[in-house]
Amino acid sequence: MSGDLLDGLVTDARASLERARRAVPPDFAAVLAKARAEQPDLPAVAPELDDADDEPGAEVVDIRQRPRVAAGPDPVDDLVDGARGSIERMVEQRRMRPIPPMPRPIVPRRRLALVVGAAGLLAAALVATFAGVRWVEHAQQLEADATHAQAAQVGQAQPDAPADVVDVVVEPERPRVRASAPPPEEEPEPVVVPQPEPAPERASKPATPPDRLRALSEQARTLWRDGDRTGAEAKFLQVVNQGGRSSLAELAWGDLFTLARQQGDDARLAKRWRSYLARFPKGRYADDARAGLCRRAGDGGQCWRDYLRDFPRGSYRAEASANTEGR
Amino acid sequence: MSRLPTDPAMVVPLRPVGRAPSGPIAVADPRERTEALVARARQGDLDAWSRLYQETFDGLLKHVCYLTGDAALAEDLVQDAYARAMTNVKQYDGRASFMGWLRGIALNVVRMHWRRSRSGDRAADRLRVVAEVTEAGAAAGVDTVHLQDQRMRLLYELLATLPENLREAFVLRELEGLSPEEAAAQLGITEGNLAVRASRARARLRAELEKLGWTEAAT
Repeated sequence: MSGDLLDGLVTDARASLERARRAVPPDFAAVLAKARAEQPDLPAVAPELDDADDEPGAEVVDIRQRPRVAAGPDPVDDLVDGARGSIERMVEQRRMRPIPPMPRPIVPRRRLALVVGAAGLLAAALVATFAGVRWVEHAQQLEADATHAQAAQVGQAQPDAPADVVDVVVEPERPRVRASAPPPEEEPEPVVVPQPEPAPERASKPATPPDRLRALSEQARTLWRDGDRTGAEAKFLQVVNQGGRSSLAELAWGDLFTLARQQGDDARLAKRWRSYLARFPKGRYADDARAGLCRRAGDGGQCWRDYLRDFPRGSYRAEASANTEGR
Repeated sequence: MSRLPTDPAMVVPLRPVGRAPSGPIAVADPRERTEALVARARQGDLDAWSRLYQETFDGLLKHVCYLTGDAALAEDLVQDAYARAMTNVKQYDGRASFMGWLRGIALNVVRMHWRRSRSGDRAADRLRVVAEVTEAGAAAGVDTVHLQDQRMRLLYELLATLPENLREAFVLRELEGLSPEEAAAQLGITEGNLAVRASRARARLRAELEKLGWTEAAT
């Protein structure tokens, strides 16, 4: 049926494989963002399959000796070769993009429950002991704390609050402004790959109370889990916009990278890397973001030279060296 | 396409990635080098994991692409496979190659996906794909790439109708092109058993194609 066509496809597939083999290794991009899944009770290796096909007398055909062409055209061959060509091309295209962030290991639910339970018990025991000995003093302290917290909240909303309270908040929330003209949650403006300058001290503090950021992050992950990537993305953007240089905001960046990658939106991914680098020039994802941008740079290796200067022991130094040698 | 849920509550904190390795791996032999990295990974060294991840990602992704026929889905499943591998790395005993071990985990993840996404017989879908492929093949000057993609769609539609054990054998042996030894070892079966399964898978695929009128259309 299609002997010539098959030969051609097989040749193309081999050539694709060869090209793929020669390509530089992919980067270990972005980050630890994504952790999925319900706890698997998976064995570490493929379980033994049933041997129902091993019954005595079963027909055994040595497929190494199967005369594919001599037996006449087989429509399955046609499909197989077409599929092989598509998959090799798919894999090669994928290789041109950075690899996704390395996932975090999954903690078995039982282990997690034990840890949480033990911590809870310990905390309860400590509280009980402490309360038993000094409950009156403790209650007074709690009351004092509550008063202080209330004062701090008032301080956030009032410009003339005491300096030590206001100083906690870098970019005070502007609830009234937002209420009258709610700004759309926009992505931060893209910037050129920054030099690793220390960010201003004030910018390193979260603009929003951690509890709120944490709640937003949790909402985002819930939406993501439910398949609402757009909703999740909007929430993560809120976290990065409001979280300044907090660790929660940085983690949200990792999730935004993953979402952009899942949507196959390379342009958005690159834009996010740049925005991230502007805030976290030496952040946990900076190495990956810089390498990802350098792959797209097309500037004769200058980007990789800068990378080597800033990350002399970076994960992509081998790739960077390969891209700068002889230029 | 079904996606796996992300459950951030089920993760453990790790040291930041992308930092300088905690120790150099200056071993020339790739196998020894991998063993050294695995030994470090078993002790929780994330830098070692990151190197293993970089070095094995493409190979594992390709494997899962062959099993699923869908790059985006394969990427998600590969992520799950690594997450499981990181959790279970202490169970890796070094008898098989590290890559072989990873492929085994990935296969389990793919199986779980298959079981989750089982949605009954989709004969109508297959008929539609056959019609599209036939139409594409008949069109003058049709793009080979497009034709290949259509054929791939059809093949994976058909593969979805096969029992798991036949599907795996066919994909590993006939599609991915593993040697009988490699494919049998990965599936944990004998080469003879592998041959039977691959042969039965082919026969079923052929029968299904004939039922759909593909043979006439293609010739």
